[in-house]
Amino acid sequence: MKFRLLFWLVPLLVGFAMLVQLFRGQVNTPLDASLAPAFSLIGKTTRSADAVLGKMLPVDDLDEKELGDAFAEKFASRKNRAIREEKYLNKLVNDLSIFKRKNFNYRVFVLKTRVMNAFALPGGVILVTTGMLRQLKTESQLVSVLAHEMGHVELGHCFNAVKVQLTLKKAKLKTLGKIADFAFSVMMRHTFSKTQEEEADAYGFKMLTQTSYHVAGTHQAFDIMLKKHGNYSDQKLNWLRDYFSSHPPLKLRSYKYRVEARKFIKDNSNYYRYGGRKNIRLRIPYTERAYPEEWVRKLEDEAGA
Amino acid sequence: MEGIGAVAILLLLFFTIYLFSRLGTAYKKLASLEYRLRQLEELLGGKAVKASAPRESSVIDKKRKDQVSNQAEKNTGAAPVVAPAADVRAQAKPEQAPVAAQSRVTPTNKASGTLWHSLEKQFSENYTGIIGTIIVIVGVAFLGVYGALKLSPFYRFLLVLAFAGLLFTCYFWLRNKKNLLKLGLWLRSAGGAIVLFDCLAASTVPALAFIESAFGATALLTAGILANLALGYLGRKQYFAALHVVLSLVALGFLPQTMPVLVIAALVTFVGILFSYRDRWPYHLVITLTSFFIFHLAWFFNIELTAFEHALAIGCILLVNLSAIFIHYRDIYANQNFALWPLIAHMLNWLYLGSSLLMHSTGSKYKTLLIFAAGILAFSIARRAKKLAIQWLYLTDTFVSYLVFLAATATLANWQLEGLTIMTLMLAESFIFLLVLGRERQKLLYDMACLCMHIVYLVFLGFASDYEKLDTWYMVTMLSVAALANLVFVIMVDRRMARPDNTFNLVDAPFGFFRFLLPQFSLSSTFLGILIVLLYNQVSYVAYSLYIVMPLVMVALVFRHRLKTSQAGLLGGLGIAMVSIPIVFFATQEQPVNQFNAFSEFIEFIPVFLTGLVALAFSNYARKERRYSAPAIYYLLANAIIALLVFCNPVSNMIPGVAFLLMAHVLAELARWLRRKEASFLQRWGNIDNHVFISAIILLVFFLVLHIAVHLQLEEYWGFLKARLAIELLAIATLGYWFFIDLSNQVRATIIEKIQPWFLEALLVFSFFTVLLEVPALYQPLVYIGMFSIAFVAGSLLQKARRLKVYSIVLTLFSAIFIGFLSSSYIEPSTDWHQQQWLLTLVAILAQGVFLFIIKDRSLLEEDSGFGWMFKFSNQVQRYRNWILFYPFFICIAAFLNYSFEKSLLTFLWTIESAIIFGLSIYLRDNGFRYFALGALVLIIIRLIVYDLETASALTRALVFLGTGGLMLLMNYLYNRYKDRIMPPEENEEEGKP
Repeated sequence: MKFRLLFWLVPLLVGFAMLVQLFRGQVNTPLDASLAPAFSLIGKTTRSADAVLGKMLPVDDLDEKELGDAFAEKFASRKNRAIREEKYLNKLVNDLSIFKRKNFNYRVFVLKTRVMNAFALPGGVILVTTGMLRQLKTESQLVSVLAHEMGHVELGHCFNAVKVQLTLKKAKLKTLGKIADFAFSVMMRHTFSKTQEEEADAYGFKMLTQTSYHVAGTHQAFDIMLKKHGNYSDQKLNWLRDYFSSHPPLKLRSYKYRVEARKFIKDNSNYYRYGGRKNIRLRIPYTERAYPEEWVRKLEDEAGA
Repeated sequence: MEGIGAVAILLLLFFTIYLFSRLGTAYKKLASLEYRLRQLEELLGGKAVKASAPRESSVIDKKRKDQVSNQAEKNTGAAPVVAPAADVRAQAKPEQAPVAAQSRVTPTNKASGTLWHSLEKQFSENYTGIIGTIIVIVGVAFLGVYGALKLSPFYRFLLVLAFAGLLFTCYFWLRNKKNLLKLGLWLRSAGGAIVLFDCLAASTVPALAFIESAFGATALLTAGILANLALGYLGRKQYFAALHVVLSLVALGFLPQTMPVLVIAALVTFVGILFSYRDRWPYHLVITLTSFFIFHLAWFFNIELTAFEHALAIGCILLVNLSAIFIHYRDIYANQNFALWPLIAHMLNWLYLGSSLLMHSTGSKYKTLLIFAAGILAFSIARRAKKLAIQWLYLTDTFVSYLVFLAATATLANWQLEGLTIMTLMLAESFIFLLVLGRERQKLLYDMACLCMHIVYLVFLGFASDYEKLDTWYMVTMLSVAALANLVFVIMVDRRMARPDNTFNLVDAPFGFFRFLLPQFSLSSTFLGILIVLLYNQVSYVAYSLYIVMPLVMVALVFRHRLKTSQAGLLGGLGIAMVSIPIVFFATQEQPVNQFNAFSEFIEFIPVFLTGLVALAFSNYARKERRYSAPAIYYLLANAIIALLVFCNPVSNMIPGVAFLLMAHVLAELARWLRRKEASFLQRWGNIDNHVFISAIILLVFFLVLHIAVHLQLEEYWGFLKARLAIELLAIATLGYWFFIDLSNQVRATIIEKIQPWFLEALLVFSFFTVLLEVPALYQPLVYIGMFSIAFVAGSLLQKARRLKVYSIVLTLFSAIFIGFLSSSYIEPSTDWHQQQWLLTLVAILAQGVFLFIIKDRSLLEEDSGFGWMFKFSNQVQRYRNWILFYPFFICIAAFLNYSFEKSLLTFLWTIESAIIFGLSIYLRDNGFRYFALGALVLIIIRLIVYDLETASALTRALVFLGTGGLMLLMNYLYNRYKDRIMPPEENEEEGKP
């Protein structure tokens, strides 16, 4: 009887304390309601199934590397390349490569377009647009973007997207493989693409915490994209958009990593991290030249905040 | 020449009639001859029968033979009957044969004969006359056409008149002949009709018109009409009377529409109505009144009237309709039974009177007084009908008086009264009227008046909804008066007249749909509910107005409770108010609820909850001695949900979800407490425990919905713990509490017993998704091991949760798959040793291995506890333990090694695994493990030769070969060293293989 009462009373009191805390802190979520997190959560099951399937197929990192080399060759042979930017980015990605597990080198190419975007291809090829380089304010933000894209490669997202193609390539049926991958992508990818993005975000943020860059880079990059794109400005629930959207809402991503950054700073009291506002402007990596004023402590002090 | 032609035609007509009369005589003679022949046959007796027998149908004869032979067969048992049919026939009495034959054909013949006879009678008696008359008139028409070509109008007039005279002559000739009297009467009527149309045509039809003055034409027509009326009177049948009145009115309709024509028509109708005083002539009355109404209608739209002429016309109408009203107030109609046609005639008369008078309305406001007077008159004469014991008339005129009163009230618009005031007065009238009827216990009349009152209500609501044009406090006054009157009506009258079984009749039929939805529905109380809502709508802008309106509802609820009425209709009506008022509250908010005004708005909303509590406390249903707790509970629940969502969201959108969870937690305990009460208590309170439990489940569902749509976004930390995770742990604790508390009741098994066991599954699913969401993938294998360990221990300790052991096995398998195929996909970009995926997974493998060896020989489910598949699965696990638990685990470890380490080292690593399994087989004395390890070793050797020899570098190859070889030697040593521990294959065979 006493135990039962205890089991009843304890959750009740704890719950009441939570209510008080929520009321006092006036805790609110970025969006009034959104099913995107739920779809991301459910997407973990399909993403796992996809990963298991990828493991079963007789392809490995070497096959992915071969495909990556082909991509890299194609992008390297383009005329009118942004050599300076590419050099800068490749230096950054080389510094980050100490965390890689895959047996190939990462290569970054720049696409000359005003669109603000970056994406990864199988085999460690990362593409960044000039629009992205122009909009980002600090090197820590740029590194967070590169880390995110590396996450896609390291976590096998890119590889899984072409796994059938790679498998059938061995049997001289590359086109059939492309079609199979495309069909799978059309039918299934939206069920776990948000999950993959979340994983890549987490991977990128984790990588940022392992470097000397300021951890605010992640959410600041999202804030800039949010300002540019303004997606999910609608606060209300829209389950159709939440389901078919390839990425989680930027508001949620920004909010999540702002909270994580704040916690990280709180947990590391002697926190001084590098922002790199000048570095990105001058296209000189922090590892080559560090400016003393770029070392900041608090979240609000961070360059580009 | 014209005269000769006319005479010739007349002769021709006479000849035709003569021929007809001769034909009649011939028919009579023929009938007489047949009659005599039949008499002669009867005199001849048996001979006649015998002689007639062969003429009968051979079929009938054959049937008869069969029947007789069958009868003989029955009488003599199985003995063959060889007696000829003729003998049998001889044994039967001669007169029996035709009777038997007749009896066999009688049923159909008789039925068809009766029908035929009826049709024949109808045709002969009436339609021959009618059709004959028509034919004759057509003949006259032809003659008229002929005459139009040959004669002058006056001669034509005379010719037609002579023809009518001829018909009259025929009547006088035929009236003494028994079978032709009817024909004679129709011919007479036809003659009358011809005279009338001849008189009419003398002034209107060009071919016959010879009178030019209006007076002359009217005088001649009046003469024709008088002749017709006389014939109608002489006919002594309502059909003849109706025919002549209608003909007269039709004839008048052809005249130019002037006032005298209406006067004549009224007089004609009046005379026609007077005929009805001779006997009960309802058809005649209906036809006559309808004819006059149509005539008046046609006349009215073809004339411009002065005020005096209007008055004169009203006089004519009153003459006709009042004379018709009083017809039914005669002893001849005294009858308690329902009389359809007199009722129709009476109702039509009232309808025609009202409509006709309305047409002559001059717009004077004093007509109100007249109509009121008419209402009083109708009400008074209805009382007289009651004294005379003319039940239907009493009912009809009482109802008519009610309608007249309503009409009189409607005319108050001319006295500059607002529509809403008029409708309020009409409602008040309706209530008074229904009060009177309630006292007189007149059920039918009450229902009819109720129907009208509902219509009045609808119109009232229509006026009331147009509130923007009206002064607020005027509206409030009117609505309050109407609501109060309705409340008094419902309390004093409606409940007395309610049917005990809550069935509905024709009057209720339009509203039957509502009764179908809600058996305790009462339309009056529904209107009361709507009135209260409208009242609140008027004052909703006033702060704290709910504190004024909701107490009214509470008082009504208490009244209803104390009335101990057999019907809960009032509750239904008040339910509308209770549900709608919160909606109006939110809909009429001037500014949306925000974090600054949320608290004050919530304080304003409190009366809604108080009303819900009052509804719960005062919800008895006296006859059945129970309370309707369900509506009040769900009302409170719905408002609590809405209030939390609306008032708390502006402060923190996380609060409602957590609050729902806590409320569910409290309600679960409340349900438990209630279920410990006596069964009679729970029954008296309408199974309140079930509703509380279901409410808690609804709250849980709301929590889940909000958790998915809102809470999942939350990333804040409370100290070291994520706020979202804290909420999830609270939910897990609540679900656990729900599952483990004892909600059973020995006396009553309800839905609670069915739902509660599933909370364990809900708990598991929720926990699984919590882990999936909150725990980084890197640590998930460790958490799964913790989960299935806890599940197994809990399943072992708690009898109620035995099946947790089975779920633990399922989780084990899932964990093995995760370790083997997924863990290598979740890597961290970290150089810290404790964040290395391979290390954490190795720890997980070790922990899972330990767990599996601990539970290896433990039983799962001893008995089937209602989950059949689990018991079967448990048996299979125990029987094929290695195949289900261990071998998949070993394979998954091999997969993990494959995906996590260098390919060149794989052979060596697999050999280690194989050696460990081999060692375990010796330690555990398990042959199955040994076979598995040796089988794996064969595959490893193949890989060593095929793969490692070709691909590995020289050093790696050497090291791998060394390591693998060394391990094999170790295995060989172990085998020889512990040979005695290895059981003979036949003893272990059962365990190892399926």
